[in-house]
Amino acid sequence: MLPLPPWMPTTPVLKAAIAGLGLALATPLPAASEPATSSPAAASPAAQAPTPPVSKDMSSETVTVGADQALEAVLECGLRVRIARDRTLPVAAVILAVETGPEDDPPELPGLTHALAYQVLQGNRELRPGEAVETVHGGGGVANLAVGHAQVRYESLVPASRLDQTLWIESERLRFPTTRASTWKQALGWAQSDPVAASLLGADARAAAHRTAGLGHDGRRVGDGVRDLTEAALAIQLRARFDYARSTLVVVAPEDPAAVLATIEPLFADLPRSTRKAAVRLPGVRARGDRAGDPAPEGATPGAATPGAATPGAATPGSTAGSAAKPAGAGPQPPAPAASPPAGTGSPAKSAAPAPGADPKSAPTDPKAPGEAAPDAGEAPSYPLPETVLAGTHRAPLLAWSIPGTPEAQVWAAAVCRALARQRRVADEDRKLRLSCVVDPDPRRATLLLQVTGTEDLVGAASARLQRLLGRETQLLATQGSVLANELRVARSRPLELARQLAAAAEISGPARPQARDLDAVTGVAALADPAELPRVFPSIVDCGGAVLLVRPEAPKP
Amino acid sequence: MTTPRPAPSPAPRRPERAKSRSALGLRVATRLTPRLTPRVFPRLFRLAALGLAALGLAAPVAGCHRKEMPRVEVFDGDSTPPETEAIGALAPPWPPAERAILGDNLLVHWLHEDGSPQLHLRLLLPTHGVDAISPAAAAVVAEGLALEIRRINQRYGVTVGVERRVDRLEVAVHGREQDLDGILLGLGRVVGVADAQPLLLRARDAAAGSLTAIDGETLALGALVSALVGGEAARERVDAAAIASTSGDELAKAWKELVDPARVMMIVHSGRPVPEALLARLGAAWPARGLLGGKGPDAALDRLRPAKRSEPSGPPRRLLADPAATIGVIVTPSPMRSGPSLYLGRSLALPDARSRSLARLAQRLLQEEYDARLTIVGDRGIFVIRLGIARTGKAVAPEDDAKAAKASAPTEGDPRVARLRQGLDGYVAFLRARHSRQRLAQAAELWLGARMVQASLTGEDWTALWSESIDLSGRDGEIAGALARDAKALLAVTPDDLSAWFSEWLDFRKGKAGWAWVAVGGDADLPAALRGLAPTEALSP
Repeated sequence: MLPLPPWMPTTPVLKAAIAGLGLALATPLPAASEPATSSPAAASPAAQAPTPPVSKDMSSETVTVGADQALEAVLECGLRVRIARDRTLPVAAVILAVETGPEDDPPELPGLTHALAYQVLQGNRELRPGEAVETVHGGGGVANLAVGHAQVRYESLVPASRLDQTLWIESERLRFPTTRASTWKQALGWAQSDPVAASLLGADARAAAHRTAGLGHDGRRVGDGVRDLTEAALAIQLRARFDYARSTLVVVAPEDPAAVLATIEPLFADLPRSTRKAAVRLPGVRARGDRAGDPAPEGATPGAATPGAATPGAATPGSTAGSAAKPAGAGPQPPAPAASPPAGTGSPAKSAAPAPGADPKSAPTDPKAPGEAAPDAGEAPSYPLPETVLAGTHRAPLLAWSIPGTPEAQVWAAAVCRALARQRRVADEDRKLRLSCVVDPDPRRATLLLQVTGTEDLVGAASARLQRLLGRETQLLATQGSVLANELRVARSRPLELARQLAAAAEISGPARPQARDLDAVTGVAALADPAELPRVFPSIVDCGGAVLLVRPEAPKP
Repeated sequence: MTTPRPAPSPAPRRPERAKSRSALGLRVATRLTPRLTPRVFPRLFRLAALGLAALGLAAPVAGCHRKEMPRVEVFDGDSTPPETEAIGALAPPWPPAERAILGDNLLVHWLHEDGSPQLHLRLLLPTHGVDAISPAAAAVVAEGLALEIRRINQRYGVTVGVERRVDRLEVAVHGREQDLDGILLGLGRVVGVADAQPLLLRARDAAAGSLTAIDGETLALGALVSALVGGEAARERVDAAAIASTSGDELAKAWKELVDPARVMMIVHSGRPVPEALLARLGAAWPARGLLGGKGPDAALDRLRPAKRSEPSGPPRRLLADPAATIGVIVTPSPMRSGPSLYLGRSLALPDARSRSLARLAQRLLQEEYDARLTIVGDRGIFVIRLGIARTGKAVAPEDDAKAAKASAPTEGDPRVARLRQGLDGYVAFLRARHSRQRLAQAAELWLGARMVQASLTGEDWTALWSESIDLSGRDGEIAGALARDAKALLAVTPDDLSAWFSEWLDFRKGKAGWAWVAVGGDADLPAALRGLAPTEALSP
C-alpha cells in the first residue's frame, strides 16, 4: 500500500496541543475573515458570486505582505492561491485542497471521491504513478492525503530547496490523471484498505445533523458501481471533481510570498481560463416554522428542508457515472426531514422519524427520548425545541449542531465547548447535571455535539446553559475565546499547521488580484475577539432550536 | 568568538537597594524573609537575624537571595551564517546567539527569534566527571526535574520531555512565549528546592515503572560501545532494577551535583531578547551546591565534554584479519523478537567537518541496504552495522545455557556462519563499488532535508538543533555555523573521496584497526556456531 497515511481531519500536532489543554477541538481550525455565509440567508448571491479570472498582469503588482499576513489571489484558471511566510526553518508546506469529498458522491456510486483521490496519485502524462510522493520523500519530506467529507487535501512538507519542484508537481497533479484500468484497480485497493476514520458520529447521524443526504454514507466503502467504472467514465468523474477551479493551493515557505506567487503563476498559465467553482457548503436548514415558538410562515411546508450544498456559480460533480457535472443547486438531496412537534407542544420526541438510511422498523414504539421529559401537557416550553431524529449509536441522546464551514464558526464552536465545560452549576439546576461538549472536526462539515445527563429535561438544561453563556456569562466566553486564539496562533507557528488552517479557510468572492490579508482574519482568530460575533457566525448555536436531537433507534424486537 | 553586546539592557545591572554588605564583606539581601512581616514579631525577627549573623550562617542564607545581573554578550556573531545562506544550506536561519552567565554560574545560550509565539527551553545536564553517581541516579534526577517542572508549570500547559545524549541528559520544556516569565520563575522554584529527596523518590518510582526490560539489542550495543571506547558496559546500563535500587541519599547527592548551575547549561529559543532581570532572578533562586563550588567553565564544550576520555582496553583490532578481534557473544534467556544479530562497530576519528560529512554520507548510503548507525560527538564517532543471523529455533534453557555452550563443538559448516560470511562479503563489495555523484547528492539531500522536516514536525525547536550543533563542533565558536558547514561539506563529497574514506575506515579487513563485534541471540549454540567465523568470548547478559 502506498505509504500515505490517509487521515481525515487529523492534525496530530494541533490535536496534541489542544488536547493537552483540555480543549474539545481536534481539527485544524478553519479560518476566514470574510463575513460568514453560515446560513442560506447570509449566503447572498453577491457574497457567493463566482470570482472572475485574474488579469494577466497581476504579478506585476507590488503587494507588501507583512509577517502576520498571507497573500491571496485567484489565478486565471480559477485556482485560489494563499501564500504565507515562515522563516523559522528552511522547510515549506504545500497543500493542494480540492473542494470535493464523499458528500458529493452520487447515491449509486458511494465511495467514488475517496477512490478518485487515490487515483490522482497514479500520475498522468507528466508524472509516473507515485512520482509525486516519491519526489517529496526523496527530499526528506513527508506527504499526506486527507479526505474529508467535502475537501480532499494533498499535503507536502518539504525542505525549502524542494519548493519549486513541489510546486511543479502540484501544477501537474490534476491534469488528465491516468485512467488505466490497472491503476484504477490499485487505487480502489488502497481506498478499501483505509481504516475507517475515527469519528464521533456515524454517517446517518452526521447526515441528520447537517440535514444533508450526501453525508449519509461512509465515504470509504467502495460500491460495485465504482468498481465497474469504465475508463471514459472515470475520466469524466475525475474531470468533474478534481479541477483546479475548485481547488486552493496553499504555500507556507521562508521565501517572500510575492516571489512565490511569481513562481506559481507561470506553472498554471497554460491552463484554460475558468471561473472559480469551489462550492460553499451550507448546513441544511430546518423547515421554517419548525422551531417551537417560531411563527409558522405562510405557505411553509413542515418538514421541508433545503439542499445541503450551494455552489455559487459552480457545479456539483455529476451524480451518475459518465454524466457531466450537474447544474448548480442540484446536489445530493437532503435527508428526509424528521417531523417536528407542533409548535408549542413541547414534545420534541413524539413524532421522531428515522434518519435517512436508518431502518424504519427500528423506530421505537414509544419515541420518547430516554432521559428526556416533555414539559407538562399543554404547557409550552420557554425555549425552542430541537428536531428529533432517530440516528446514531450513543446511549444517551445527543444534541448536534451543524457548524458552518467557515473558520469563524469553527473556532467559536470550539470556544463554546470550552466555555460550556467551565460553567458553574446554578442553584436551580439539578445537582447531577453534567454537560459534555465536543467538536467532531472537519474543515467543511464539523459538528458540535453536546451530551446532557443527570436531568430529565436535557433540552431545557442545555438551553439554559446556552442562554447564560450568551447573556450574563459572556465574559467566560470571551476568556475562552482569548485562550483559544492564543493556542491557534501558537499552532500556526509551524508551517504545516498554518497551511492547514489556510486550506480550511472559507471560500470567499475574490480577490482576483493579489491581496494581503491578515492571518488572524483568514484563520478566523480575529472573530474570537468579540463574543458578539458568535450569533452572527454561528447563528444556530444561540439555542437548541437550531440543533438536532439524535436519539439512538431501538433494536427491533425479534 | 565573542563580541561585547552592543545595546545595554535597560534593566539596572546592580540594583543597590536590594543589597547591603555584611560584616564578612558579602552582599547580603536586606530582606531575608520577604514573606514574614516584621511588624508581627519585630523583636523575635531581629533577634533571629542577629543570631544567625553571629553564628556565621547569614552568608549562605543571604547567598540564596543574592541577585546578580547576568553577564550577557553576543556569542559567535561572526560565524553565524546569514539567513539566506543558512536556508540555502538547509540549516536553521538563527541570528547570532547571546550568551549569558548568571550570578550562580549557570551558562545560558539564548536564541532569539523575533515574534515567535513559542518557547523552547532545554537544560543540558552533563553526566560525566562524577563517577560516584550512577547512570540510574542521573536518569532519576532528570526524570524528577521533568516531573516537577511539569507540575509547577501545569497552568501554562507546558510539555516536558527527557532526552538522552552522549555524556549528558537533556530536559526539554515547550510552552508559550507569553508564559516565559512564569516558566523561568517556576524553574527557579524547582531547582531551588531545599530538600529534593521526596521529589526524587517519586521520580524513581515513576521511572522504574515506565521502563521495560532491557532487550538483547541494548545489551549488545552497550557491550560493543564499551569495547570500542572503554568503560564498563554494565555500569552504563539503566534498567528498572538499577533505578529501583537507588537510595534516597544517593539520589539527593546526584541532584546536588547534576543540578549544580556550575555544571548545567541552558538553551532557550524565545521570541524576545535576553530578559536580564528575569535571568537574574533565576540565578538568585538557583543555588550552587556541587563540588565545583560555583565555578564552572564558561565554554559550553568544556562543560559538556569530559576532560579525559576513557580508552579501550587492548590494542585496536580488525575483523577477520590480524590483529583479529574476538566476537563477544551474549546469549539471552529468551529468544529475541528480532532474531539473533551480529553487531560490527568501530570508533572513528572525526577531527573536522569534512570527515564528519564523509562519515554521515557513508552511513546514509549504507543505510539503503543495511542497518547502519552513526553517533557523532565532537571529533569522535561510533559506527555500527547490524547483520541478522539466521534463526535455528533452539532456545536456550535458563539452567543449562552455560553447559550447552561449552558442550557444543565448533561447527564449520553451520548455515548461519555461511550466511554471515555472505553478508560480510556483500558489505565489503558495497564499500568497494563506485557510487555515482548523483547518488551521493540524493543521499545527502535526503538526510539534510529530513533533518529539517523532522525538526519542523516536532515543533520547530531551535534548542534541539543547537544541541545537535554542539555535537558537531570542536569548540564553542563553531556551534552556530556547524549545521550549515556540515551540510555544505556533505554536498561537496565526491565519489573518490568516499571510496578512499570507505577503504580507510570501514573496510574491516584492510582499513584502519579499531573494530569490535558482538553477537546476541537466544540460541543456545550461538557461541559454538560463531566459532566457525572467529574466536568467541562469552559476555554475561
